Formats: sequence, structure tokens, C-alpha cells
Amino acid sequence: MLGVQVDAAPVSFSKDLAPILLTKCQSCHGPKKAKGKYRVDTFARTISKGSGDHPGFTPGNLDESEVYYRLTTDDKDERMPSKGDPLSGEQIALFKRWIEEGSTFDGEPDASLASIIPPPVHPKSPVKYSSRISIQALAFSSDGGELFAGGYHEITVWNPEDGKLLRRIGNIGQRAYAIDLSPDGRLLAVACGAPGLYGEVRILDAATGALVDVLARTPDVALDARFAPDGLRLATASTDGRVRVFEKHNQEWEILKTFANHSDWVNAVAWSSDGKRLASGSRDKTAKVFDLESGKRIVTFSGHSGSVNGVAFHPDGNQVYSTSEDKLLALWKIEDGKKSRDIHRFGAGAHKIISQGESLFITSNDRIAYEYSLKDGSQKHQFTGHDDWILSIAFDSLKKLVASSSFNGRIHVWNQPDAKAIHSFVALPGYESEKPTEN
Amino acid sequence: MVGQIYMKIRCPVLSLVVFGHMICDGKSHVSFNHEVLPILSKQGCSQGSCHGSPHGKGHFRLSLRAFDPSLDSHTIFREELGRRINLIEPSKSLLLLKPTMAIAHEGGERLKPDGYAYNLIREWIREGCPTPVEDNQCVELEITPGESKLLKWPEFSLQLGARATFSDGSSRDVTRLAVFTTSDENIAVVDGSGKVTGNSRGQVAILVRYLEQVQSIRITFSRKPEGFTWKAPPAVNYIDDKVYAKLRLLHYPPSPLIADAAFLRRIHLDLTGLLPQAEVARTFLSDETPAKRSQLIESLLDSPDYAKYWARKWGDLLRLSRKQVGESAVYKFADWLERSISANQPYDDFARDLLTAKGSSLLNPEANFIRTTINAEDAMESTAQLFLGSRIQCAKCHNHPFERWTQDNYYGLTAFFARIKTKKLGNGGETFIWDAKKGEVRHPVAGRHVAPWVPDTGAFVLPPDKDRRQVFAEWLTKPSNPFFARVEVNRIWAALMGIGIVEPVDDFRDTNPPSNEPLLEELSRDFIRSGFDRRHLIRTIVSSNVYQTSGESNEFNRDDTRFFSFREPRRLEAEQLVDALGQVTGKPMNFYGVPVTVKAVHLPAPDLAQRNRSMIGDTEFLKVFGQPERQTVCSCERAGDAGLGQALQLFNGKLFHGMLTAGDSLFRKSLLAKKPLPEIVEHLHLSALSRFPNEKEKAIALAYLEKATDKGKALEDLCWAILNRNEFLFNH
Amino acid sequence: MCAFLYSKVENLRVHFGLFMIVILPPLVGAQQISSVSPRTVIVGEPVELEFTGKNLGFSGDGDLVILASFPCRQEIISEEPKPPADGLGAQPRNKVRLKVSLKEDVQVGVGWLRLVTSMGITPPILFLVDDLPTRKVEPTTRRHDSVLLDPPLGIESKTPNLDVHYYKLKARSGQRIAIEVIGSRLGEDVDAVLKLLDASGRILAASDDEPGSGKDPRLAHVFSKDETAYIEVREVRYQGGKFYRLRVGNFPLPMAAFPMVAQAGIETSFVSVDSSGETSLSRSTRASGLYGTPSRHSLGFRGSEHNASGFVPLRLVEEPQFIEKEPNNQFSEAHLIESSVTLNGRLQMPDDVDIYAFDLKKGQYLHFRPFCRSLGSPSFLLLSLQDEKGRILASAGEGNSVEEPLRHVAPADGRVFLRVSELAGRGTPAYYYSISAHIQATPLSFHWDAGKAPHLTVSGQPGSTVTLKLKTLRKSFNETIGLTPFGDRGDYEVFGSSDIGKEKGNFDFEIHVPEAMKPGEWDLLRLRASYSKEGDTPQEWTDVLDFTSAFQNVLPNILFPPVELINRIPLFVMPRKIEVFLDPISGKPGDVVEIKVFLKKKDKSFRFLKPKTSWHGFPQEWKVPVKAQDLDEEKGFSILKLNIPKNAIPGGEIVVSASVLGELENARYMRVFSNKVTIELAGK
Repeated sequence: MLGVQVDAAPVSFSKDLAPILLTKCQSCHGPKKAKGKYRVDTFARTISKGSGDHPGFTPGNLDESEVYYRLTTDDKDERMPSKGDPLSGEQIALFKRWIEEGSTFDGEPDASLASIIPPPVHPKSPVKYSSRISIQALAFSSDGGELFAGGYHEITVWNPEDGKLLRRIGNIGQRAYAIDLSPDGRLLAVACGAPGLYGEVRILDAATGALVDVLARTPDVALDARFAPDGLRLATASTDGRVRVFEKHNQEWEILKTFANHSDWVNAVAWSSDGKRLASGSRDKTAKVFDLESGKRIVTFSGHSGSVNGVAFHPDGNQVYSTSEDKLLALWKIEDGKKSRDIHRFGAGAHKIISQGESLFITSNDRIAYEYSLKDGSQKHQFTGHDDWILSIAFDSLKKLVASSSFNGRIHVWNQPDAKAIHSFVALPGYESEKPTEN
Repeated sequence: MVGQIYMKIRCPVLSLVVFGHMICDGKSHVSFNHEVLPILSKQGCSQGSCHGSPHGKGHFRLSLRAFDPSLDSHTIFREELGRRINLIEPSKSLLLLKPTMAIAHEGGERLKPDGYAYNLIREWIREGCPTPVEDNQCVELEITPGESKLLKWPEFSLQLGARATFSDGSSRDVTRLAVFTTSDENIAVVDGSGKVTGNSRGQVAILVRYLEQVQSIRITFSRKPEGFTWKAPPAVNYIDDKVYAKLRLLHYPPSPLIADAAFLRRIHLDLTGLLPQAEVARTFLSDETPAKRSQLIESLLDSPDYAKYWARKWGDLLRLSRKQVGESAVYKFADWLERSISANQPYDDFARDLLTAKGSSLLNPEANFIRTTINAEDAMESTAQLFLGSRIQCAKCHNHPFERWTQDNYYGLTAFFARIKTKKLGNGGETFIWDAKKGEVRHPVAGRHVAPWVPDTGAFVLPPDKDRRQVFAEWLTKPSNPFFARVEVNRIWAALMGIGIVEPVDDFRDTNPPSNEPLLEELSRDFIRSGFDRRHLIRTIVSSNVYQTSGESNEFNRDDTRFFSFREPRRLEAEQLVDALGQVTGKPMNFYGVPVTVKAVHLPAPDLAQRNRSMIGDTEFLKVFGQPERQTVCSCERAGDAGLGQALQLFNGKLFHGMLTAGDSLFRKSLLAKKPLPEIVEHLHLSALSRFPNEKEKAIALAYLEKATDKGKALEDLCWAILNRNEFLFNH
Repeated sequence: MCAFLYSKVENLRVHFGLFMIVILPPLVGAQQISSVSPRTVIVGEPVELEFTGKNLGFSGDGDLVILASFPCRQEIISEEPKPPADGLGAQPRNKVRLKVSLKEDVQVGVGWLRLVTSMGITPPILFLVDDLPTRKVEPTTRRHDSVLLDPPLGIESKTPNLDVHYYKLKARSGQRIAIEVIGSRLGEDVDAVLKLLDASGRILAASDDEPGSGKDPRLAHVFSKDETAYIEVREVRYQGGKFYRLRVGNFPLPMAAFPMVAQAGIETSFVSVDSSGETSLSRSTRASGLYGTPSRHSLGFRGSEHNASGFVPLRLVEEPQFIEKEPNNQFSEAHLIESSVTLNGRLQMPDDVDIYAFDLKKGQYLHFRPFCRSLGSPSFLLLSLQDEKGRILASAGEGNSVEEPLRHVAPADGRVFLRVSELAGRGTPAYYYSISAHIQATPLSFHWDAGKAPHLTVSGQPGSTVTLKLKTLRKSFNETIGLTPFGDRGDYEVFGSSDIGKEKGNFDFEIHVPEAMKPGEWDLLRLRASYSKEGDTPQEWTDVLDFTSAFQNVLPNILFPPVELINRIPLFVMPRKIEVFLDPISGKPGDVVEIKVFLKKKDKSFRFLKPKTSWHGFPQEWKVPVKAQDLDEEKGFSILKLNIPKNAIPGGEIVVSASVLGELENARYMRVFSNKVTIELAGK
């Protein structure tokens, strides 16, 4: 749980109070649901008035701080958090002291709580994994020598040839949902987070694993992060329904643009080859295309009957591939959002699309990974062998290797040209299966 | 599967649960089907208003009260890429963070950290969320201590225990997993751990549900008020014995017996729906013969009015209306009902005729019952409510919340009616009803065909083209049927006593137990022994002291509403009131489509008149006082509650005002005929209240009349006053 | 017995020849009986019937005959309007009282009756032949003042509005009383309900609809003690003005006869069937198809202990009868039927099945027509035709019509089985059925859509044509056939081609009325179809004309219209249409003008009988007496003198139209000038 300091230093809104408000209050007093017309998702809103008779916080005045009254009243119907136990004594004391100290705040009043809370230092990963957790992110290093895989609060790096563990990069969100290598191979972007708790996109130095920056911090997990073809921009997809674009200014990544058009989680983003357009797929069953210059949403495709999990631009630049929970790989036109054709129906729901070189790589819950020609959508290979849902895939164009990871923590490596399996291993450091048969 | 041992340290304050696991053969220890799901259901997660609703809450949907384990295991463990479960640090799983309010949870705090439920779920996650295919079904749920219990003051609390046995023979204590609910909070409450605490005297049923098994235990709380002494007249028949036994146990002394006048009015209203004529009242009151009450009962039971009135009661239940059965069939079906009751047709024959009716709806009007049902489910639901006393509709989409009816049972019963076929014939609205030789019911979820099934003997294996309605009717009407006699006996009892032994009369379920089971049991046995003779049953009831008990409660039995220590007065039914007003004023209301001689209580159907604006005024009186539309088989359609509209109708409503001020009303005619005023006043009281006016009433009336210049107007006022007294408006 | 009436018809024709009667052209409106009372003729007791209606012939012309399914003699007692003294200008009758007496052995039960007058033939009206006397009794609507009946008797009345009728009975212990209402069986729109109440009003017995009598109630009761009882009669919805005949006595209440269908002209013995099965009553008779078969008759049953008969409908056909022999519940036990026959049998117990086998050749046509409800049996039949392996080839019975026929064309040679069962699986000794089974029945049949001839006769002037709107029902027979209408006079010519090809579904069949037929003559037409193609043997058959739909619009209220009342179409010859023409004329107010009246067709002569003119003067209409002279043969015209009223306004015009009652070739006629003439009014 989040640590609470008890020294004499003045109470910091972002360090001490924002984490409490985020976890205990925002789900009922946030952008989606604002009970009593009161929201806490930014500092400005926290101190403003809801439908109660006093503003949330009145500097230096306890009686006229509605939130303080709600935290301390013993009337069960009025007390917050509603239908649950009151906050601990120390936490209430923090609020009290903050009001008395004039409820100061030095950050951006309209920034979301999640972004003003200083990025947490994540706990250590377990030395040996006790259970087979799912691996939902994979990426090859630029020389193909290393295979980055999502772990528990870490990124594990494996030798794709023999499945040996090379190194472990810590201080990562609880689960990694996407890993992307910058075109120059020097940076890694990891979309991660803990379900229901927090989400963020971490930029790491691919070689050393050092933390470069923490972006797109949201109250729930981040699901995708993609470098632009020129490597100078990064697009992220999060569960707060927003697509964010960051731009690199010397070592710092600044927020360039935020698209809030989706009404539910955004599962995936993809850059057009010229870097001018972005495609996104969301749980609201639609895929959209945005134009960066104008900052406008160009088109919405609502041909899927399930959550859209993967998107990729067609080389001609005016069509988009998209995969969805409704088991379909569709191709649709940007100018009118009409479906050109269904390319393939998988045995079960399909996940992200990795578009690399001349091919599209798609994984599905029907335990098969597929390779399609980017140009004409014809199926080139099927990579079989997995014994559970396949959640992510990566392709090393140098050594022509395909690697995919499954729900039950396995990685399979194939030789791409002939789709021959090379070998497969449980990519969870130190995991000893109870059953001897498992290798 | 190795049972879980745990010791329960029984101490009222802190029930500490320590459980250890027998780790032996590496097989999972926490059963998903038998422990995790029941706990989620017990803690309220999978109830209808939260995650159990068809669309779930916050993208998280569980099957209602966990009746579909495979769906739930997929949702919890795999949906949204396994986001709800954290195998590495189980306590950090979303499935636990939310219910413990570690993260804001709209559903509130459902699990206490380190509570029994919390530990169980965490243990299950620690074991990797195993969900083995479970063919080991829970087959029996047993409650300790047993079927029913009597608690004497001051020990008004009781700890219940629940033990489940499974198809593989194993059994285990599931008190912590079962859901306890009470049928009446003001009598007793029960907490999550099965501890019952009584608040006041009376009787309550505690329902215990674990997975699909439902059991109930009846607990009676008896407390002796000070100064209570038991006093009751000698019993006339077994009814008095059974009722007095219960009353004595609960310390409710019965009120005294009623006088002749009250008996005369009550028995006439209950058996014929009509007030006794003034002359009949005069002769009965002055009659000295000792057996005059039983003779009166006999003559009323033999009268055509009895047959017409009780036929109308069944008309209410069988959707007998012009809208439902059509223009001429409404009269034919009403005639058939009257003939059946006039001939005292045994109740099992009566039910068989209705349920297995075949052929043309002109030649055999009883086929109109099947004709009003739109499909197999509707036919079954109507039959279940009428003859099994059960509102089974809830089990159509999921297991019944309060009863043993599961969804399979619902479709098992519907299978009996799946083959009914109807076709329209030529003109005159004749319909032909027959049964096809094949046709099955498909279970909406499982998709397989469901075999015909009945509660006590289970599924039937029938030759393919056997007439299933015949089979159901035979099962229903055999003496050993657990529902048939009890439902009708309770319905007749409620019609005579105002409230059923099971109330409401068509809602027999474990959580709504009979207020006097031995009485219901004995009445049913007597009814069956008599060959389902309804007239015999009515005669027995109305001859008992319990029926002839006064309507006033006394100091000790004032708050008895269910055990018949006194007969609760109830307002006249709509039709009874209209006829009574018509009889007293001599200006009976006449109805569209029937001769003027036909009384409101004999009306074949409420909607004989076409819907036309001009007629609205006339039928409004009946509607305001609760005449049912007869669109459903539910007894609840006849509204009994009072309302402002009723007061206005009796104040100066169009109908009542018209009757009072009519030039040729009874009392105006006797005025013209120069009848002496005392005689008119006496006739008014005899006709309206079935008794002679007492001295005070006579004095007031005559004084008022003497003083009045317009005797007619004065008589109108007198009549208006009498007809607005409770003694007239109520059947007491 | 029917020969008797035949000769009557014969001499009727001769009779026609003797004296000419006056015919009204159809323009004046069809002959119509609006009511008859009483609706019953009594066996062995002459009855006075009073007919009211329209155009029932001319009063005083003494020419009125009853054409009925029960032979009878009639005698005119009185007629309205009164016949004219001078025999000229007779008015059409609208009321006539006849004394009707029956032959002895006539069948009790429902029959039909028409009146044949000089003006035409009326549509059929259903009539009861009863062996119970009809008594005049005033019904009351209250029990206490009801009239005491002295059965056995019949009472005719109309149901009261929003009330019930009561009749009082004094019954002795052990006495059996049978009560029956005849209403819907006479085509009346009545659904009566019958109750027998004891002195205190309790129901002793009650009846609403019965299998044997459709909507008419009937009940029997044996009194257990001497008591007063009341009969309560009402219309089921208490509607008033509905006719009913109450029969009270001690008579059987047969539900049906067995066999229900008999071969015409063959002595057949029948057994009466009631709701519990066969009864002891039986009888035999040789019923002849009075007007060809199939037709429909009544069959009365009466035991020695009864004082009247109960009757059931009986159908007469030409094919022989076959009585089922149990067991015939499996294919192996099925009885082989070689030729067209009527299958009679019954479904004794629930789910009973009767099976008949047929050996068919490819292309042969099978047609089964079930008769149950319309002949009184409660069964609803399900017919299914199956091949040897039990595969269902065709089935009938689940559709919406009550007695659904089954048609099938054999796809190949081989044996097929007809499986007869009750649709609802019911079965008791009373569940009888009759199925007329035709193998290679007539390849097609005709329906006569009598919509154009609402009173079910066709009429035309000598030399004109009458149209029959016919609908053919082909039974897998695509060849062209020739159709020849014929009657007692022999064949009639057809206008236009008489070849009916496959494509002709509905078509108008024009029949030529011979010049030789005199107005007032009539004949009963039938159709003979003939087919000859080289290589096939020529076939010729007299077709079965299906009148069901035709009779349904004449008797809409009867649940089961009598299948075929009369299997022939009555043709009635109307007088030739006379047309005259007036010359235009001019005159001054006050003048006497003479208008020439020319006969359009030169070859006929007529003389004015009673001219009647109506002016449409300007500005209002005047009635002015006018004198007319007879047609002057040589000049070829006659003169119509009339004087123009003095106050007519000069410059206006007066329009004259005249209708004249004249005689033509010693047949009286009435015609209306077809044109109007305007009289120009010059100045003073």
C-alpha cells in the first residue's frame, strides 16, 4: 500500500493526498461518474464546490471544508467513503493539517491526479515465480539478439535462440501490456500498470534498462505504446479512453496532443508510414483514424461487433486493417469508414496487429499466430504449437525469427520463412512447475 | 475431494474460524463450485441488482446466484486478459481489492479483510484458481435443528446449522456458505452466520439456500402476556380443535361466538353474496328451533344463488371475460361453471375437465380455459398458480429466488402443455383444441429437450405419443398429490374467513408457510376423504365455532392477524355492495347484456358492455370498489384496499344518489302506501343490517322523521346514514 | 311418393299451357319469402301456413305451387292484396295463406321449401316436418306466471330481449320428458340455451350446444318424484327477436343415424345413435334422391313408448356403402377397397384407428370427403394417406375447415392406406363417421357461384341467354371437355363454345333459353360433361354440382349448411322485354296534345291496359289523368292524349314518362317507357 510520511514537513497535495483521493474517491467522483456533482480528478475540481453547501476544501477553515466534514462525521449515510470503513486516523490527520496549512498546491491545477502523483517506485519482482502468469508483451532488440518479455513488475530479457534468461529490468508497472522498440533500437516504451490501481508508459534505455521518463499516467492500466516511424514521437493508448501523443525535446518527452474521442478503453494505436496519421482500436467496438496536423478525428469505423484489439495502416495509406474480439480481421476504407472486405475469421477473438516489413503478424485465442501480406492481405504462414491463448507476437526481420507469448506464460519461437518451430520455454524466471512433464 | 476440516469455536462474540488444509495428494482444496461461488452469492456479489444482472455492473457479469459455474469461472479468471486475478500476490487481485473497498467499489464493502469469505477466495487464487469439471452435485441440504422449533420466552434466539451432502456421498457443514433469510422481520431476524433472534410472538420461516438446494425451518415464538387465562367454547369439529391448539400455544384467546343476526348476515353474504331479505331476517330472528343455523346453512347451500355466486368466484380466476374468450363463449363458459357447482361436481373432476378439455369450444365450454392461454408456458404458469398455488413465473429465466423451483423444473412442467394445438373453425368464433402427437420444449440455456417433470415423482418417461395433459391431470388429481387438495381447501377457507391459512392463496412457498399446518393438513385429508366434495368442506367450515366467532378482537388477541382468534371484518366485495344497495333501496342496478333479474354477483363477466364512453359512468362504481378485469389468473386482481374514490361514491356518487332519490324507491313506495313510519324504519334496519333497530336508533329516526316536513327527503337522509355505517359496508 | 310430385310437375307444365298468367319482368324485383309462420308442417294434420314476402305471383291468378323436399298438397285460402274483381290489373301478392297437407309416410325432420308462382321461383327456406302438433302458447318472462304446458306439443315463438321465457310443467314420478329447440337447424340466427328447473329454481338438466343438433339445445330428464318443473329458454346472449320452435314430449334424441350416408334407392336399415352409442331404435327405408343425388334428407326415429319422433340428417349418394369390420387398426388388417364407396365406421375407444387399403394405378385420382359434424357425429376426423412404408403422402383435418377433404394423385402403381383417426384422440361408441371415397372420381367438378342469382334460380326471356358463373376444380385432368346443360325438356344449346380447357378456372357458361319456351315455364338444369380423344375411351358423366357456397349466402347462420339441397339449377322463363318510343311534340299551356307511341319491335302487338304517366313539368311535378288508345295495327302506333296544365310556364318544357300495363300475346306484362319526351311550351 502507499506509504504515508508522518514528519513535520508541510503536507504535499500531490505526494500525500492525491494517491488517497485517486484510489478511494475518484471512481465515484471522477469524469465518468460525479456523485453529488463533486469531482476529485484534478486539484482545481477537488477544492471546488459540489452540490453540498461548502466547497470541497476551504483553506484554513475546517468547518467549511465539505470533504473534511464528510470524512469525520459519524452519520453513516453522510460519511465518505460511502458504504465502507472510514479513512485511517493518520490519513484524516493529513487532510486536517493540509487545510490548516492553507491547502497549498504547487502543480498544474487542471492536471489529472494520476499525472501529478510522483511516479511510484515499483516493488521488487519475485526472485522465483510461484505461478504461471500471462505474458502480454514481446519485442525483439534491434539486432535480434534479445527478446524483451513482460513480467511481474519487470521486463525479462531472453536469448531467443536457446531461451536462456539474459537479464531482468525492474521498476516496471505490475503488468506490461505492450513493449515497443524505438526505430533506432535505443529506447524501449513499456505500456504497463496494475488493474484498477494505476497505469503508465515508461521509456527505458534499451541497453541499460535505466528509466528515461514516465508518461500517460492514468487511474487504470495503459494498453499500448508505439514509436512514430521517425522515432521522435510516441503514441499511447490507455483505459481512460484517451490516445496521447508525446514528442521528444532533448531527453524530455512533452505531451503534444490528446484525443479523447473513444468512450471506452483504447486497446491499440498505430502510426501511418508517413507519421502524419494515427489509427486506434477501442473496447467501444470502434476504430478511429486521427490526423495529427489538424488534430481532428478523420473517420470512425463501427463495422466490428466486439472490442477492437488491433489496428494497422495499409501501405496505400487510405485503408486500415483491424482485428477484434468478434474473431474478424477486417479491411476498411478511411474516406467513408465502409468495410472493403473481411480478410479472415479466426477460431476465437484476435489481439494486437504487429505490422513490420511486408507482413502483418496477428495472434488469436484460437492458439494460432498468423502472418499476412501487408499488401494484399493474403495469409502467408500459420505458427501453431501453443497450448493456450496467444496474447502477443514479435518479429525480428534480421534473423527472420517470430516469437509469441501465451496466457499461461509460454514463449514459442519459429523460423518465419518456413514457420518451423525452433523451441518453446516458460518465460517466467525461476518458475518450477510441480508437474515434472512440463519443460 | 478431501473435505475441509475446520473447527468452529462457538462463542457468541467472536466466531473465530481457523482452518487448515489437508495438503496431501496435491489436488485443489478450495472448490470453486461448492465454496467460491456460494460465497460470492452469499456476500451479494451475484445478486440481481449487482453483478448478477443480465448486463452485470462495470463490465463484470456473474450468473444470477451462481447458477452457471462455467460462465463465472471464465469471467473471473480469463476475461479482459485475467485482469481480476493476481496469481503472484493473490491479495492484490482486483477480485479482492474491490469488495474490501481497498479500491472504491460502488457495491460497498462485501468482504472483510481476513474474514472467512476473504480467506477462502484468497486461498483459491493462491491455488491458481482451479475450476475442475464438477459432476459432483449437491443433492441434499439439511438444517439443524430439524423441521420446526418452538421457542418459549425468554430464550428467543437459536443458532442454525446447515450441512450439504453431495452425489459422491461426501457431506460437509456449509453454514458459513449458505444464505439465510427470514420471512417476517418483525417476528425474528437471522444474521449471516445463521443465528436467529426473535423479536415478538408469532411464527416465522427461515429459508436456507445453498447452491440449488433450498430448505426452510418454521420457528414459533410463544410468550405469555400477564393476566392471560385460556377460555374457549367446546369444539364443534376438528377445525376448532386445531385452531384452539395453536391459539393456546400462542396465548391468543378466541373472541366469543356471534349472535343470530350477525350469523344470518355473514352466512348469507359468504354463501350467496346477497344480503338476506328483510322478511327472511324477521322469520329467522324470531325462529326458536335450536338447529335453525344448520338448517339455514343447508338451504343456502342448496339455493341457485349459491351456485351462481361461487361460479362467479371461479370466473375471476379463469380469465372469464368477453375480451379473453369472445362474445358468446363468455355466456357458455359462465353457464358451464354454474352447472358444475350447482351439481356439486367433485373438485378433481372439475380440474380434470378444465385441464384436459379437447374438441370444439362450443360443444365443451370448459375448453375455453386452455383457449385463453397464449402458449405452453402461459398454460403451465396459469395451471401452476391455480392448482399448485405457486407463482412459478420467476423460474422462467433463472432459479426461483425463494422456492425450490429451478429453471429445469419450469420447463419440465411446461413440457406437459407443449403439444396443445388450436385452430379456428368457420364462423361463430368456434375454436377446436387438440394435442399433437409430438412436440417438445427446449431448455433456453442448455438447448436440450426437457422431459415432462413433476415435483414429487420427478421426470416421466412417457411413450412418444402419450397424451401428456392426461398424465399431468392424473398426477394432479390423485389423493397423494402434495398440492392439489391443500390449494383448494386454502382458497375456500380464505373465501369464508377473509384470510387464508396460506396467504396469499396462490403463493404456497417455503418462505410463506401456513399459519396452522395441522389445520391445513386435516382440512385437506377431510376434503379428499369426502371425494373432493366442496359443499361438504364449506358446511364443515361454516358450522365450526372458529367461523362463527365474533368480528371484535379483545385485549389479548388484538394483534393476531393470522391465527383466526377472531374473524377479521372485511368490506363487502364490489358486486355484493351494488346488490346490497339495490336491495335496500329497491332500485337494483341493471347491467348491459343480461336480464334485469341478474344480480351483480351473478354477472358472467365484467366487460359485457362494449367499451363506449357513455357507459363509463355506470360501470365505474364496480371498478372503483375493486371488480377485477379478469385478465390474469392471479387472485390479487381483486383489489380489496380502500380509496378516496370509494368514499366519494358512497357520499354522493351517481349510482348511489340515483338509487336514493328515485321516485319509486322502496321506502317512498311504502310512504305512498301510508305505511306507519316505525314499520318503515324497522324494515330499513332489517333489510340493511339484518336486525331489528334498537330503542336508541328507533328514537333518533322517528324524532328526525317527525320533525321533517318532506317525509320522503327525510327517509332518504335516514337511508343514506344507515348505508354509510360500517355495520352495513362490512361483512363482519 | 316422389313420383306423385313428379306428375304434379308434369301436369303443372301442361297446366301452364292452358291459361296464360301475367309475368312481371325481372325489373320489378325477385320473388322473396320474408317470413312463414308457423315453420312446421305436421304429419297427418293439415296446417295453415302464412307466407309474407314480395312478388309472390299475382293475387287472384290461382297459380301457386309448393316445390319442397317433402311431397305435399297446398290450397290457397287467402291472399293479399285482394284479387281485382274484373280480373284486370292484378297486383303482385305480398301475403298468402295456404292450407298444406302431407302424405302419410313423409320423413320427420328438416326439409326445404320454395314457392313457384307466375313471377318466378323463390329461394329455398328451411322447413320442419314434425309429428308433434303446434299449439299457440303465450310464453312469459317470469316463472311464477308461466303457462302450464300439456305435452306432447310444439310451440313457436321469438326469444325476448334481455330476458328468458318460462313454461310450466307438471311431472309425475318416473315420467320421461324430452325437450328440444329447433332454431339454427332451420337456418335461423339463434343460439338458444335450455334449462329444466325444479320448483325452487335449481337446475335439473341443462343444454347449450349438442353434437347432434349443433347450436340447438336438447335434453331429456326422468323425474324422480311428482313435482312442478319449469322450462327456461333464452338466446345465449339474451338477444331478442330470434325464432325458436320448442318441442316438448317424449321422443328420442338421436345424435346421428348409422350409417349416416345411404345409397339412394336401396332399402337400407339404420340404427339410431345417441351420445353413449347405439340405441335400440332402428328402422329401414328406401330413400330416393328426389332431385338427383347426392342430396340430403331427414330420418326420423320413434320407439313404441315415444309420442313423437327425433330426427337426424341423412345423406343420399349414388355409391354403395361399406361398413367397417374391426379389427382394422394395422396395415395388415386393412380392408381392400376396390371401387368408389362410402366408408362407414366408428372410433369406439380413445386413439382408435381404422385403416382402409386401396390399390392404385399411376395417375389415378383419389378423393375422400369426410362427413361427421354436419350429420350429427361429434368426431373431428384426421385423414392421412400413407404408403406401405408408412410415409405420409397426404393428410387432411388440421386445417381450419371443419370437414376437410383429402385429394391425392397416385405417383405410381401400388397400395396405399387411408388411416382414419380422431384429431383429438377421442373415441367412444358414439364417434361415427362416413367418408365418401372416390377412386378415379370424375376428373373435375364444378362449383356454381350463385352470387349473381341470389334467390338461387336463373331466369331469362325466351330466346335470351342465362349465365351460370362456374368454377372448375380440376383433379389432375388437363384435357378439354364439352359441357352440355340438360333438363327435363332435354338438352339446351350453349351460347359460345362449350369446350372447357384446362386454363378455364372461373368462366361464365351462357345457356340459350329456347324461343319455344313460354314465359312462366321452368325446368331443372343439370350439366353433362363429355370427353373424347382418339386413343382414350370416350367418357361422359353427369357432374356433381357443388352448391355449398351458393347456399351459404342464402342461409348464412346455419353452422353446417345442408350439403346439397337440390342438385339442379331451376331455370325460369320470363316474358319478353317490350320497348316503346314516344314522338317529340310541342304545345301551349291548356292545349290537348296527342303523343304517338311506337312499338320498337314491329312484330309484336300490345294494347294499353292501364296507362299511368307522370309529368315532370317545370317547375314542379303534376299528376294528370291521361287517356291512351290501343296500338293501331295498320298505323303501327297508338295515341297518348294529354292536356297541358294552364299554369305551365311558356318557354319551359314538360317531360313525360309513362308506365303501361299491357298484354302481349295474351300474356299480361308491364313495361316502362324507356325514354322521356319533352313538350316544348310555346307562348300564349
